[in-house]
Amino acid sequence: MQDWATRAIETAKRRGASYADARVMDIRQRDISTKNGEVGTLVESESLGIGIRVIASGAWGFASTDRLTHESIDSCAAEAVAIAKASALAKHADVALAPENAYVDTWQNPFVKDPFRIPVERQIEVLLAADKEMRRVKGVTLAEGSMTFRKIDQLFVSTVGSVIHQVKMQSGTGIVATSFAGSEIQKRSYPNSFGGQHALEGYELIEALDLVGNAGRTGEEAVALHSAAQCPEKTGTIILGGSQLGLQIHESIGHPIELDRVLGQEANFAGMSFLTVDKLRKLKYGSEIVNVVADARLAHGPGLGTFAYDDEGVPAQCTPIITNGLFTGYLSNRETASAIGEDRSNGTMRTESWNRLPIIRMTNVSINPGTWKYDDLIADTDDAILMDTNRSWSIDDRRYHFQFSTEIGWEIKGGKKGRMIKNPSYSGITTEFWNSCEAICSRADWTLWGTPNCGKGQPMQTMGTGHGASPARFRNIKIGVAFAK
Amino acid sequence: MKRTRKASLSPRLRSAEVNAPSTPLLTASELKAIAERIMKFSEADETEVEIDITTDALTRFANNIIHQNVAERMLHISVRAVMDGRTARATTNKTDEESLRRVMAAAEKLALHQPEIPGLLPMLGAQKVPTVRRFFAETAEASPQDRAR
Repeated sequence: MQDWATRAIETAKRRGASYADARVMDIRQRDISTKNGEVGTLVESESLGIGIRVIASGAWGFASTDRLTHESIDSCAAEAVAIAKASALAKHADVALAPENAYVDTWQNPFVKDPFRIPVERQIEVLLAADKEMRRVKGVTLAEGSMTFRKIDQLFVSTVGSVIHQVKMQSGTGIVATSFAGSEIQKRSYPNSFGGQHALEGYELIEALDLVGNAGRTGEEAVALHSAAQCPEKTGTIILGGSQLGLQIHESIGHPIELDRVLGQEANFAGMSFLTVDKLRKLKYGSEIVNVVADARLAHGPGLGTFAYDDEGVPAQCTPIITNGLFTGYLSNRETASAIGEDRSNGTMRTESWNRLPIIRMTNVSINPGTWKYDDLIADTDDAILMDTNRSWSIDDRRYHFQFSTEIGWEIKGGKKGRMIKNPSYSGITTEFWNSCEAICSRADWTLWGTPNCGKGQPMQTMGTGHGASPARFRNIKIGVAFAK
Repeated sequence: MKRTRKASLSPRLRSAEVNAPSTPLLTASELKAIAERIMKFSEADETEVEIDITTDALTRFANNIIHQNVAERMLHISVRAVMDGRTARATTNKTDEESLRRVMAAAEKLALHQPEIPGLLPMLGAQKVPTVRRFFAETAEASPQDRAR
């Protein structure tokens, strides 16, 4: 790998690049899905190649190839330089990068069990056993399960002098029970919707989640939702479960703090951002108990946004995004950090694969735990709806107005969890919402959730992001509009 | 028992011989040779190898500058095996002997875990495929400078 990457940046320099980096990535993936007692998707894939990014004539160029001969790498590096020189035809100023040191390092995330060494038949057995448990519940009409494993072995080399080898092992799994009755569809997912839970861990994650042990309850709740009370339409108090709060963070904090969106360089999928640079260190984003960080360090947890170095050779960092309610930080790279006068990138450049340009991505954007015990929070709540597990999301292209619905809700009355509520939803304005946060549960209920499917860029890249959250309470929230009749 | 073996090359490949990007695409005969190397590892009832090689280039503008300008060359090898009426697919872009053996073995192994498909039709077998000429050298040869202008 190092021979290929070093050759690439040397060739780029000879061709006129003032800066070059190269990423060799060897990616292996296994995807398994089951549906109503049968195996559905069952695919293994491997992909190896090199991506070469350069600055020449003051502008960016990028080229990639999977033909890893000396001749082909030379040609690819030359193409990257030619592209950069073409980009320079329409530049306002030379690209300026915030300074960064050189690092020579090797890193691998810790894991116990290599999922690729677990026989695929054992993995299928677990999914089919969970599937059977869900379908044992009368009224479950569709049972689905999935597992995904991804190993990324990558080497980064740059003209700064960095040589960084990283190996990342990711695992993920989830199950879904769907119940069709009359004209209504209800569903429950475990441990989360849209693919379940994903983390930078080995097969031990799958075992710890105990899909089979949770399948029956998942199916029962899906069926019970049909006879649950409809979520009322009103303004009131909500308590969000940790996974829903994680997605709320992703959509209403994670995307708007991406500095490429702020600076007008990216608008695909999530649009741009209301967080113009004049708001930095001035905007009261949330209430005083709201503290949000973007933390890529392993110390934060084995999230999908955890690494040792980002894809332009910047070490993993913890950046305060919201500090006691005040907006204090963006997600930046070396170029955008320089553009807004910061002295260093906070290390969020990530690429899906060797053939994609690294772009600013969420790392682990998490809300710090509060002080409340979960039971005490419920006991302290007189009238609220507890909403859990995302069902849908909608947010405008400045990430300011939003509406979410969840799979399930429960009425909280007089400090007690009461009847089940179906079709719960809530909507609001980003800053009003976060300023209405007045209780956050403690570390004991905090989970680093993995979102495996965040799309961005063109060509589109799918990236995994992490979002640590614990249940939290919000006052004066518009409830129940999405399904109002 | 092996019934049919098929190597299919996507239509895009047939123009590969006349394409001349800075990183040359493989010729159709080179791609066929890869398919044949995979076939020799097959123990499946039927095997299909589909190979696609592409070059793409994309220039993006924002704030009246070119802020992203990229190109890629990518080989995609997809192997489908049929075993006892069951079928599955594995993919790779690696062409060394061990990787080709592994992708074939993966497709065979995964097929055994798929449900049997009643009445699964056999693969078509050797076909005479008409040549499709939808390749425009002028487009393929457009340089980064051409795109920027």
